Amino acid sequence: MTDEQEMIEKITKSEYKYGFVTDIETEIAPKGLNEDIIRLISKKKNEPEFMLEWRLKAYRKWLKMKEPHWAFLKYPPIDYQDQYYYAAPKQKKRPKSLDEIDPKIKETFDKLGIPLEEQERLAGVAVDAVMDSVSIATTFKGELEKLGIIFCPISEAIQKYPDLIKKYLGSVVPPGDNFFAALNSAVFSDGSFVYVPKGVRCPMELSTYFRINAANTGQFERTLIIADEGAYVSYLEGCTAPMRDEHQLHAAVVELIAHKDAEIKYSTVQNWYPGDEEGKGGIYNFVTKRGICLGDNSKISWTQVETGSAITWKYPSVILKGDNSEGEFYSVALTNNYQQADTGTKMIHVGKNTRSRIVSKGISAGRSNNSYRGLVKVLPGADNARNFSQCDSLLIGDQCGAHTFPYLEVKNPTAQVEHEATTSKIGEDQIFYLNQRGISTEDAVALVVNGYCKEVFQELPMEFAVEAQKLLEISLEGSVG
Amino acid sequence: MKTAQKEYQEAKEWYLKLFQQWRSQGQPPNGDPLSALRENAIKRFAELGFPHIRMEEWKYTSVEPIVRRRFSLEAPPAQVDAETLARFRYFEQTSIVLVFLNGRFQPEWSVIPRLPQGVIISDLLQAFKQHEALIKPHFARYLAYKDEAFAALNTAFAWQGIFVYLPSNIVLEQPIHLLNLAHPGGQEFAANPRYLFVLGANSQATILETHNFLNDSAYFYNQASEIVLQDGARLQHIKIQDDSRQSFRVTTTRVVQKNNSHYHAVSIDLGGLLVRNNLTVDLDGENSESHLYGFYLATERQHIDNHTNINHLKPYCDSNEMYKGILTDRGRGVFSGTIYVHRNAQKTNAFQSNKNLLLSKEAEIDTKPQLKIFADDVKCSHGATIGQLDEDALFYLRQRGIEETEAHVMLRYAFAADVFDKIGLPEIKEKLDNLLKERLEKTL
Repeated sequence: MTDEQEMIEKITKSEYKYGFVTDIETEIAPKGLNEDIIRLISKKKNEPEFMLEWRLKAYRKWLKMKEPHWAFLKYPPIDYQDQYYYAAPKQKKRPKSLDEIDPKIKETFDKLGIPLEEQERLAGVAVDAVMDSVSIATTFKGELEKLGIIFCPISEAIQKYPDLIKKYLGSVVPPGDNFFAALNSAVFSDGSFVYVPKGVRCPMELSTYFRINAANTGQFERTLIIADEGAYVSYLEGCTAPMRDEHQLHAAVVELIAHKDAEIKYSTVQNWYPGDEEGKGGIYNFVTKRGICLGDNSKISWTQVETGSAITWKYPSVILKGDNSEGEFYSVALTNNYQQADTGTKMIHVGKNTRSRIVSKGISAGRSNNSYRGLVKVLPGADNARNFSQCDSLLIGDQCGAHTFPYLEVKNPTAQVEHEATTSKIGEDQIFYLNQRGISTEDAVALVVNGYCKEVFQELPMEFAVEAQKLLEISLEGSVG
Repeated sequence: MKTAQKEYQEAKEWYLKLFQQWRSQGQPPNGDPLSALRENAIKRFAELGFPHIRMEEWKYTSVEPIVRRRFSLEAPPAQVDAETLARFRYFEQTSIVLVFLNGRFQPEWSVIPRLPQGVIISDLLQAFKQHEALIKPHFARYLAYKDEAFAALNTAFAWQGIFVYLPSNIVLEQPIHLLNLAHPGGQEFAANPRYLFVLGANSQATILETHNFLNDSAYFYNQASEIVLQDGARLQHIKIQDDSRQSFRVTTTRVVQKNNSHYHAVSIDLGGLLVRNNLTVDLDGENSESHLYGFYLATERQHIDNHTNINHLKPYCDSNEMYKGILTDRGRGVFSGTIYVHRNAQKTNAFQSNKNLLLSKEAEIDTKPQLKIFADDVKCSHGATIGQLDEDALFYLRQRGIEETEAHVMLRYAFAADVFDKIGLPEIKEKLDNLLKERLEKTL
């Protein structure tokens, strides 16, 4: 028992590896939120008139909305007027090649383990790196352009492809969808835009790294991915953030649209700063992610590995509108110290023969609370809908909590819906078995936890799977027996 | 929205007014030992108002049909005869039968044979006069009437009910049958029956609650029960609810279990237009055990909602829960089950399952199994399924010359039997089987 406690002590002391601040000049708008700030953001980004209107409309809606409090989360009230809503690294021109990038920014990425050049050459990954709010470098653009794939910062897309933006932006997550989505719609700074044309299979994993840099800057990413008929795209999102004392607000919106026969695979590794061992600091992460299988036979798959943030509020969802469409959600959420996560998914079955699968693995350690919250809804027209959900929780230490809140709502007699959840402690006999074979308790825990999450990691693209596994090991460093 | 709000407000005022009238008429009669509690409860009800669907716990169940009606407190004087009663009897003459008509205890029709020394079965208010020391420490101690509007309403109006007390080491061989009959005679009335069962250390009892009706019209039972199981006590608690298809029912039950106690509940819901059962079990003693089983059959326009909460407060406790439902026609089922494990409740084993057969286009099921776990050395799981009869099983039966309708009944019966088999009263099995088969045949 004392061993165990010692281990728990150790684990709480394992430091956040990616906590550093890059010292570059940033241009910051004054604190607070009002129509003038929104006008300023829109102006800074050279947005067309319709975008400003869109933002203002969202803002006015947001003013009338209340912050939701139904999640199993406790945090001090957020003062929305005490946040910065715009910060951009000061740069005169957009760089034409990687060589033109501020060496310090490059260094930051190197510390994160994503040397751009190397990735360009070796990994075959196009990186649209977002530092604070402005995209800095995009690689592999040429190659993608040849295939007609658009992969660019959303700010650029707004200027270059207003028709696509008008058609799709807010079509899955309307500006008034929820409090945080409305806030994001009003002030979103930047993010990625992907359009894959008909019948094109994107030849590489598209990837973006988000980082929060300037202190107290809310990060409001907006991502929009459209896969046209028969297209396929896999998108990776990964984040780390520097050490901070004050809570940082993050309210992203991601929209996915899959047309007939299209497939979108969206993978996330989220490792925002979780706060220190006393629960001080850390990111507040309120994310709205939703995809729609618009056409028949389309597929959307979410995979997430959540290890960071002080507060996570995130429910990547799929609306299965097209007949025979498919939705998937694979999640690993790990909380430690005073972290709180309330995450899960929604699968809305609208079309016939729609299928969905949910695999969620929660791991709680320290004094953290980890909740799965999900909804499976089968509407009257969704004949032969199928759902399978598996939600497991693992508890490490006796001060943490693991909770499961699934909602199943079925209005069709041909539907088959199954939900299963288990909660247990890390297997003592498994640890013992590994110990016996000369593996230290610490390594044994990492091994067992990685095995427990395997089902989800398998869904991640290779490079990501490796990173995710490492992340889990770091987060569990010196873990218990 | 505004009109609904107004309706809720008016309904609340209706019950507040009823309360004032009732009190000013000097009710309940013959002196009231609970007057301070009533005042508190009605005050709480006035603050809470009726729950609405914007509340998480009432998301799937709208009590609007109850709110829209103006039930009177005066249960119509009902007549019953021995022959009629015999139809609703389950046991031989030797059992204890407590008859309630329209919620009122009928001592003249009830059968209470000689009881072992110290056992009390008494009218509620009577018990306050004769056994104050035994009833007072428990009455309204456990029910969360301060947070739940229906429990508050029941507490304010509670005067019809029963107090059962078993002293230590008494094993009551005969089951206690609470025979409820509604005989509304066209008058829409509300009853607030209240039960308190206290089982002393190492005592044992079986309680069978049945709810039936004599003529089909609207009435509203707002029942509340408190059950205390002292160290080592064992209770089997069976409920068979077969109310009128026009009636409303809210049942709030709270069970508190001490060390080594054992609670076994089977709840069968066949009747009622709108039924809501709130069952909360506190495992507040080490090595205690709780088994909750439920079956619901919602047909026509029935709405049956089961909310269960199992609170593991102490270490080494086990809980096991299985609820099954069949939904046809426009029937709607709701299940919400929470397993809560307190930080100190190490070595908890808690299992829960909810299985549903959804058999028609317009039927609906909303299920919400939940785990809230704060201790690490535990084994907890829950599962929920929604589906149809197994095509292969149907085919198998058809191949063997069994008609399709019969095959359907057989499979539905087998599905329900998982729960019915948990009723540990072999002498009434046949009667229950017939009841179930008859009902299932009607669903085809």
